Amino acid sequence: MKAKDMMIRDLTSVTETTTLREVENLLYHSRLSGVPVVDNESKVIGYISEKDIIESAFPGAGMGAGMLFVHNWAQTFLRLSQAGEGLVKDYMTKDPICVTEDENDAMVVEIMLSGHRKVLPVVRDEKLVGVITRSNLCRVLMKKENK
Amino acid sequence: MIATITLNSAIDKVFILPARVIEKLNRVEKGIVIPGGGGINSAYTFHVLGVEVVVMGFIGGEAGRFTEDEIRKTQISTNFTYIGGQTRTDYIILNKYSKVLAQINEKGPWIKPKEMESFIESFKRVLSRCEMLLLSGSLPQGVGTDFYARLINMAHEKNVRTVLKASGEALSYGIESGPYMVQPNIKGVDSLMGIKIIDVRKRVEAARKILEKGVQIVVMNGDGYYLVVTPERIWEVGLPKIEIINSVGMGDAFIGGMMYILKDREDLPEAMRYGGAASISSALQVEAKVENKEQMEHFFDKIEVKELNLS
Repeated sequence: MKAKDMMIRDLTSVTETTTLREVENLLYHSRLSGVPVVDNESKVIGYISEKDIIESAFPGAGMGAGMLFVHNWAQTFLRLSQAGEGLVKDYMTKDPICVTEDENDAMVVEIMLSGHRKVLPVVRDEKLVGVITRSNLCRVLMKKENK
Repeated sequence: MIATITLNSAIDKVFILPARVIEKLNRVEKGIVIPGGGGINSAYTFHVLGVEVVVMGFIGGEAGRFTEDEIRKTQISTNFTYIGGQTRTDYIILNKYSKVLAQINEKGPWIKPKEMESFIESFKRVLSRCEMLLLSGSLPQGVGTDFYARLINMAHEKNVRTVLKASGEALSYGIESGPYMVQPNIKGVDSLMGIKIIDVRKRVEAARKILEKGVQIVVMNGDGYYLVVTPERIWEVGLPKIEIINSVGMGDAFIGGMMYILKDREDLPEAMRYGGAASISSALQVEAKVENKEQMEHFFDKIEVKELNLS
């Protein structure tokens, strides 16, 4: 099985100049945890997730460490509400790992698990053609197992 | 890649009743729910023919999620703009002889300026990678009647050929931008371009008025046929007589079949044959979409394309 058989053919994406508030709204409605950031020709140049948005209010905190020390929650909430005006380019992960449509299933699983990635962009000539989400990956692989 | 725009998408709830009339209590014999809207219907034709297609438009609420999920199952690409409002529902009531007893279409959601901006941003990106663009169906509330015209102008800047299937003011404004092909939606309409469309001659007259705006091909629906009019020629595309199951997507399938050929070559007779075969094939499905290429090809030889001389 290849990446093209596992992906959702969805081109939902944002640009570097999209605000975090718009991204939050998009993620809420699209039921995705993150979206690719593309240039004017749909080339994938970054990735922004709900984690990036939350972290925008905790600069340098690092949420994966298992512990988070917050001096002042009121200050943090204020920062989070103001973060909406921030631009994607300042918070996105640049040059994210992407796969091509012909990437095999083992490699896709390895990339997603090793990097704790919830969404993996799929590209053709660097342009976005779809995404593989964890839930879709499970669904497709379970179907394969049942065959 | 072909992009299809369905700004006012809907879910179609199709009810098949055993009765001939609906002015009494009716129990549904069979009911189905399918994503609807002109561009979405045409996208199914492209997909069956192996053309990469992306469906765009506004979706919202549960009906919107259903629309997106159903389209994704087919492996057609999606790039919807999510809105706070609700995607509309259309109710189509058929009797067991497949005659439409009633069709009730909701108006559709109100689109906010910010949602429109968001759509335009996605639209510009898709334009940079598509060969042909289909704009089809009614406009939701809040979207200006010149919206199709704006999108057509943007497509022309990127040298993307456009096809418009619309009615009313959206059509009038749209044709002013000179799309490549136009299919006026004349369902329930008495006149077009100020001409009462009572017969073939009047249909051709209205089509010629549209051609004057710089349009190259006009497709007019008739009863069991299509008229295809260019500045130089007029064709009638006759469909074989079959037992129609659902006629709702026939015009969309026709446009889809024609675009499939025209995106690569200017072979109008072949395009009309593909359009006719797709149209009749979609009429055989209660879901109103072409089921597969083989079923479509079965009808190729049964589509009668003849040139008319009405001068």
